[in-house]
Amino acid sequence: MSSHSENASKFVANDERMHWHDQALWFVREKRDRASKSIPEWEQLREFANQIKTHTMANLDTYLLEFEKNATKKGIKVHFAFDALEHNQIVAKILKEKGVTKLVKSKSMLTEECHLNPYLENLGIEVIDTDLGERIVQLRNEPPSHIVLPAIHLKKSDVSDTFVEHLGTEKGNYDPTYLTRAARAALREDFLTAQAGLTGVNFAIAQTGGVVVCTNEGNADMGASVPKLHIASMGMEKIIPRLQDLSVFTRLLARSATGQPITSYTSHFHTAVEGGEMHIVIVDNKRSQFLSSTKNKKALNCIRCGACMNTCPVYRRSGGHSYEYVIPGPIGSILGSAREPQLHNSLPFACTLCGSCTNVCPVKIDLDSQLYSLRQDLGSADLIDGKKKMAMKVTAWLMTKPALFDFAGKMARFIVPKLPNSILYNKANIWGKQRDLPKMPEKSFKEMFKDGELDD
Amino acid sequence: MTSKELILKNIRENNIVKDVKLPNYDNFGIKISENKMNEIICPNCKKAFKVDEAGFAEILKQVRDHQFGEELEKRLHLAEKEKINAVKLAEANLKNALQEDLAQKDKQIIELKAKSERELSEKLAT
Repeated sequence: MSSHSENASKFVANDERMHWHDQALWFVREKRDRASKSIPEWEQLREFANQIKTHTMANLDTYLLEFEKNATKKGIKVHFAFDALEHNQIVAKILKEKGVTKLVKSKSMLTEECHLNPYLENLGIEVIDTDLGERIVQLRNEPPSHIVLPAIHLKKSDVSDTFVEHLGTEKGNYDPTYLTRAARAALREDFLTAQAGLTGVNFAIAQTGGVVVCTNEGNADMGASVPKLHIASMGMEKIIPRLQDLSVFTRLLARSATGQPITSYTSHFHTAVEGGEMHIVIVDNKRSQFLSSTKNKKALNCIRCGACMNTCPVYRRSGGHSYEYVIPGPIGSILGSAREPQLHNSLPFACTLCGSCTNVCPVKIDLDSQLYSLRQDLGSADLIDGKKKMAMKVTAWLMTKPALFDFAGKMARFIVPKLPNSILYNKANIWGKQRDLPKMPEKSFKEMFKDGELDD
Repeated sequence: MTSKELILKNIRENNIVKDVKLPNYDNFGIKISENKMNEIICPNCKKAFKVDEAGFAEILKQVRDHQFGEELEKRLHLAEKEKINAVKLAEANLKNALQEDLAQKDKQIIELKAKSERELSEKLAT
């Protein structure tokens, strides 16, 4: 059982880091706003994306079969994995058959979800993450803290220290260009010596049987083109019906993720390289359970842009690692707690219900409503923290007794202003750690309403 | 049952997502310009009147057609003139050539006449 608030308290203990993390992500959010407002048809694109995803999910079985048929026609080998373990077994089997000892991997949240790296490393296969941010966190033995910006929680100095240790760079040199060049030189060697490349999938087109990968570093292209063996791992929700639908998503994805008009590389893989092999592994891993959920079915529409994280006031101030789920932020709180409620029961509460995530979501997922309903589901399943549950019970009891409620309010208005700060801001008052209590009003709302003191 | 069959079975049995139509992208992103009105002022009465895009284009076309007709006529006239001149020149050249030829023949006749007269007088002298 994880506790987001406990993890977050470790992150916010470093006040300076919390503030620049908050500001860095808000900067990305503002870039997203400018990019989205630069095209007048933005809202129409969001609506199109919502329609495409909803239609695809309603006909998912048909599109999966169409995709498999068209990909097979192009010589691609398509595999289906029921869960994470089967995905890892399929990948390992392909690699073993080809005698692969080194694999270059471009960013794939699915392989993080399946814990592919440790699985392959246990089998003696070296795995190199080639996305710069992913490589940094891999060298530090940490999980990514953001799905688009995996090392956003780190400063230049942290990266420099990591590279001194692992890549032999100059100590104390924090120049981003120098550090990037050092990583590039090391990765170039890995690309040339690896026998296989594994990429994630942003979109899989049923009509053509090909997959599309969006990156800014070109690492997916290198990984898929230099070695003769290319494996693409995808969650089954990545399917889109037609090639023409792709343009809706490519326009939305980059603008929502980083505020760019388009990612630097939008690579289409429709067959293996000459003399090589291409495999696609389609993974369920509890995705199909969302299709039967009245409240959470739209969570499968996610295109992993990370916009909900960049805007979330809780995520920005608590960091990605505090979520303890492979995907942090609002969408991660839904996916994590719906899949494994016992393990991630605190996540739906890591939310102020401000609705900003829903406002920026490019595919119109009702994130705040889902988080709210997940709280109720957790309550019904008796999976809420004991203290929280007791507080809720006391509040419910008090609120059903109007006379007692009024009396308690009156007492609080009388006593609280007279209490010294040492009592008011005690250890138990977590709310008051960074905030002052508001000034107590003289009358309750009910009294003001009765006396006609409220504006219309 | 294979994983593929199991996944498809799960989807088919549990899917409650209500289908919607895929979007139609006809004319999407194409901005049709507003029907701009153009103001035209009559050169005679100075009265201003407005015509829409299509009407303006039609008027422009008519103006162009009129100018084009005038230009075409002018060019045809010039071509005709050039043709006549060319024929005249060719006739003159032919006439000159014939006259030259005639003069040469006359010269030859005179020479031959003189020669035969000389030969005759030489024969008579002997």
